[in-house]
Amino acid sequence: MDQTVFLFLLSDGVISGAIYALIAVSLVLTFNVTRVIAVFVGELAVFAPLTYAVLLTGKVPGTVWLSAAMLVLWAGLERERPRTALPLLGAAGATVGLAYLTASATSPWLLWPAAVLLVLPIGAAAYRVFYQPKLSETVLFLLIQAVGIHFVLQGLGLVFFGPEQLRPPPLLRGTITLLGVPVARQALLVLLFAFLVLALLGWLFNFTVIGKALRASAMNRRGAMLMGIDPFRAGMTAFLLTSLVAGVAGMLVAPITNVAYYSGFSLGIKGFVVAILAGFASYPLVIAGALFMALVESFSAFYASAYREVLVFALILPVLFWRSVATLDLGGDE
Amino acid sequence: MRKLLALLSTLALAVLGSALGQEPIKIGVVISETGPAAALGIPQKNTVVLWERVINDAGGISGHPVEFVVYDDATSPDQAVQAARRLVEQDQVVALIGATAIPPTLSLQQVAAEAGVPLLAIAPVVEHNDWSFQITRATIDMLHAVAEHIAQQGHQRLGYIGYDDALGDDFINGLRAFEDEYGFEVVTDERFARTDTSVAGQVLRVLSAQPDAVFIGASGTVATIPHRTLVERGFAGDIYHTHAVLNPGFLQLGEEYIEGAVVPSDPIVVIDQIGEGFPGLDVGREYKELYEAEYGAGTVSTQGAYAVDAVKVLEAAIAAALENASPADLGALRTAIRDEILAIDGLPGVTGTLSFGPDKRVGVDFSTVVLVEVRDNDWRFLRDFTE
Amino acid sequence: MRVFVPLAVAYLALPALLPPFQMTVLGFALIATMVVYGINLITGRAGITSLGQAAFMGFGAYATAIVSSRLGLSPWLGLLAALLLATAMAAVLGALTVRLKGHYLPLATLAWQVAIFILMGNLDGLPGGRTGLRNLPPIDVLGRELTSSRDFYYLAAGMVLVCGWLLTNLARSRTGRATMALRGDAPAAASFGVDPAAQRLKAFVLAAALAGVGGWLYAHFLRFVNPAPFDLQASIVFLIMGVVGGIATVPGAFVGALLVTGLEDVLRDVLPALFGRGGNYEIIAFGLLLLGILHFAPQGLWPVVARFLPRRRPSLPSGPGLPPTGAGRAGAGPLLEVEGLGKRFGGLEAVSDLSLAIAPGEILGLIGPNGAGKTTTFNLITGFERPTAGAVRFGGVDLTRTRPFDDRRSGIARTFQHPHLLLDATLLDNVLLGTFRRTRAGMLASLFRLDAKEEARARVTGMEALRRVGLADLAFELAGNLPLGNQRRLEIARALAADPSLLLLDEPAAGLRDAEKLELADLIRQLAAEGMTVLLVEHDMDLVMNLVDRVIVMNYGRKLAEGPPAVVQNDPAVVEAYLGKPAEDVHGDAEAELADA
Repeated sequence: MDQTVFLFLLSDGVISGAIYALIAVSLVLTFNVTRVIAVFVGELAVFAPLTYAVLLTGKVPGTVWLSAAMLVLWAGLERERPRTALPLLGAAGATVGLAYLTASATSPWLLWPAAVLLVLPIGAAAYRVFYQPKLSETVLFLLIQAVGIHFVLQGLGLVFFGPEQLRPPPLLRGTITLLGVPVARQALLVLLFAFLVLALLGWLFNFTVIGKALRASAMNRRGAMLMGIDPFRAGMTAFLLTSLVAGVAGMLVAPITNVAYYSGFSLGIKGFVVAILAGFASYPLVIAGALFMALVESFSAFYASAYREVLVFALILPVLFWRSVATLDLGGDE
Repeated sequence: MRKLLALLSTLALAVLGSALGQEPIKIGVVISETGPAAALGIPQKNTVVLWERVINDAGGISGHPVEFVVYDDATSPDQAVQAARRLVEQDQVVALIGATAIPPTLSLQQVAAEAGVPLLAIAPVVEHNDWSFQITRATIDMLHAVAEHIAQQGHQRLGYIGYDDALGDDFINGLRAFEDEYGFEVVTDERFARTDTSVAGQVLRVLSAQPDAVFIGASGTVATIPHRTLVERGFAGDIYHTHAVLNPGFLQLGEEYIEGAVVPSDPIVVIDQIGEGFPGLDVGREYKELYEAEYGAGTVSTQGAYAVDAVKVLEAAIAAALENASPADLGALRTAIRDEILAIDGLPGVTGTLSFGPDKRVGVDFSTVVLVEVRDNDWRFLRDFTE
Repeated sequence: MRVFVPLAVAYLALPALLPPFQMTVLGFALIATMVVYGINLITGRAGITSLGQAAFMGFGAYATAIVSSRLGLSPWLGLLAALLLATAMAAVLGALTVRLKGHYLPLATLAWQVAIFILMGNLDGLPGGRTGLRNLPPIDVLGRELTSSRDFYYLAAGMVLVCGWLLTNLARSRTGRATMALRGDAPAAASFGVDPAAQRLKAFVLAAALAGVGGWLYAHFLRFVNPAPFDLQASIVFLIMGVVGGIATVPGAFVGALLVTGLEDVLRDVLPALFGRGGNYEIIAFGLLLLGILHFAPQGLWPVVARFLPRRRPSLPSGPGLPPTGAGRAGAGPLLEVEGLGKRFGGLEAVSDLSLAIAPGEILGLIGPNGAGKTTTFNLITGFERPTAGAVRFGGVDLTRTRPFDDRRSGIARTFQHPHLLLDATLLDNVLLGTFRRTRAGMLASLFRLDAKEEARARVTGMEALRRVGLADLAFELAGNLPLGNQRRLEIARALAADPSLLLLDEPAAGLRDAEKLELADLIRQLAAEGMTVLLVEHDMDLVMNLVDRVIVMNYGRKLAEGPPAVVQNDPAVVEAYLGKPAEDVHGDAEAELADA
């Protein structure tokens, strides 16, 4: 293959890798703090751009009503605590209000962040409604719950957005040529965001009190509680962060790749794969794993496109062995 | 609101039907409302729901009200089987229409043969048994049109990139069948999944084979991705698509990139541009008018056209069958309907003129295929093959 | 008998009660049950989350499709082919995957599930590519072709019932206990002779065989195979069925399969009535129902149902116990010898140059301040850590580099610092794990109940062990309900059930109240009087000094002192190690240094 093709595939792989890394990071973040493998992160990622695309046509998509409904449900669960319940109801109203306000607007400066904010409550409310009463269940249980949420969200996605793909306009148009390869400016934005998120999370977890509190919650819930850290609060923070990262990632990527109601699932799976490759622990490993997977995918798409997924997964197996080899482990927890 | 109306009308139908003493004739419909083929299945369902009203408003079939019982197969053969058995055994339908995708249709054929119920396939399956018929134009006919264009343009090297599923297989196999006769060669076989976010590698591979033209074996909005990538990489030759892209989403998402794309089609898509004398013009116009009045301008599609043709075939066959058989004897009625379908010759349909026979299981033939191209983000009639 | 009769009646009567269409739904549910049996076995019991069971079902389906359709042979030969292919593939894939730790294992199953699915679709020749194979012949039973749903039901339900019986037998056997131990108690299981990787592999292969049979049934039910139903989504749905039904139970497989399959059918009825034909809400409703079930019945539905079923009072085991092992008792010389044992973790020497010998019948105490290396030493002796130097010999046999489950370790039994018990199992079941090395029955024997006699003897031995520690009247209580003191006793009972000559106790008194500690000391003395050799690690000075014959003190990984308690207690080096130097002495040393400067 010649150099241009190589570079092209390389750039394609790097961009895909950034996307997978962002999803994986969200999964790792949530898992570390709550032990929930949030496979519905894919839906959280695509709901924002789908909402954006619909808002641009002047209509209010169903996701807004879903957000509001979930906030109301949450408020209902908190009815014994009016100080929590009332602001939630207010948020529900604000969500609907914001949607109607922005639906008639045309400025992306307004609509873009609005789209992200409008779907943010879904992840947070899901955590409160489904996970808060089940914090001590097994990882498998929490995973199956996440699958259930994924089904509901994906099904709603079809109802809200129909079966076809949508393509919201990019923030940055046009391409620039790097080393002879045309790269979309929007794609560079994705890379930039990925880098920022990883750097920020690294800083957050290692150098701030909040971050350390989150890590403490993950490692030892009881100990963290004794130290005054509320595990539910920690979990909620993690879920909010995850929703935010996934939502913005989806917004940035959708103009390049198109999104449909079903796009979330394969994103979620690929993110899941990368997260496991990284041991659900290390953020630098997330980058390495994501790049590995995306590059294998990209190059096999060229060499043997019908078998590209087979190659990706076949190559993952030796990596798994390598990562798994070490001291005697006799099994135990899932 | 529409749902409420549908519920009420179903109830009313049941009440009315029994009040009139004429039992409703039930027809089973199995299509993909969800799953990968949902984009193709939803227009089919919409058509069936609409045409049920049209038929009943006109007095039903031989005075019997018609009820279409629609189940979703989620593009899965298992679900299709369950749905079909339910329709046949519980809902006691006299005929089946379905499915949207090929694998579910194959399993429907099995159920139809076992239960002795006529099946009108609205997916392009290749083999049929004694009980199944095909309304969808054969893929080979669509590809025949493409092959004609390829020869006309003098292309010799055709690149192929398509879905990594049965549909993708069908397209490339069909194209290869025309290689000798039309003097071209399929030089690449690249595949991708509907859910893929990037097809860069595959497109590069296609381009490295230096084709004169490229055929994209995909559907709907997904097909815009390889098309766009090809154009962005500087490909200037003809790009052909399958008839599964004929929906508004494709035009919208394709933006300026899909200008000049050539697509084989059924006449319905450009019905307003076809000259008089073309078979089935009236029927097509009527369908378009009614469908778009109900579902919006520009929403008419080939998938819906297949559904309405299936309904028309059944309408004719059931009316004829009722002269000899009665709804009280379900088995005999089903067999009679099957026999009447076999006898259909020259029925005007939206897709073309429908004829069946013991050796002719596909209703329409090559003569009513048209070629369209994309101009200014809309479909433009290119040519027909009526000679 | 009590279970058999109602099941038999239900089996025979069901087709008469249900309309033919529901038999189709039931047919699919029964097919799924076979696969979910396997999932409950490996995920619910062995703790292996597999996202690839649909692939094995696919192997079964394709094997029979090729044999019966392409080769024109009988579907029964297809069954054989299905079993062979599924188990062969499981043996290969399993050998590679079961050794993976933590989350890598499910990911590996996901990886080959996706890879196999794509390969199935791409192999055009024999397997028919993406369109698959059609017109498969129906199964022929004694001349009758099973074409209708009702006929098929009899075969499928029969097979499901038979497999249910086999799996219930397995659950109550030594293999079943070993498998269950993998999930929560793996180190303990290993110390009693269970090879975790081997056990996992066995369970894995059995699960694949079950899935393969499911595939065979599926192929001849639909009479058409293509890759579509054997994808990742299907594997996930099977896992959901398992969790919803009750992941660690046998009947739960059917409950989950029936619920999920039946739900799809029910929704097809109910939703259009509620919402008209406008939209498609099945998957949403399914997801919500799944979440609802998980919320109200987190253990699955079968455990909820089981609470209402009459519970059978377990019978007290009687008769002869297992024959004694006689391991390592004969001969003069020390029972256990440790020579120059060392363990280095990178730059840190946790244990260095440790030597000791225990004579038969002795009680030896191993003490030292925190971080002295006592537990590491224990782990080195029992094979949980690999020594970087030195040797360990038991009854003259070199054990230095052997794994904890090695047969040469027979005769040594240990307890753990934090009780490693199966909290959801009864005391007796926990104790029975100790008899693992003393029993022989393999998985196949257990499936068919050929191990009944051996199992009965083991249960007697288990009761004996419980009696020795005074817990016999709680034999059928759940171990999780015991207070800590009794849990420790239970661990000792389990160790005794192994009929060891050397008992290793790791901080048995930790967390116990004074009265409990005295009882524990009495028990240990009793055991020693009966001829047991005991090595114990302990922190509690009073307990140790009044109990043991000899004491070894460790500090910073080295042996500091050795001898009878009274002598060691007064050793200044020992005192210093524990309490540090008296303040005056420190002051005096500093003065001396200043004076020298």
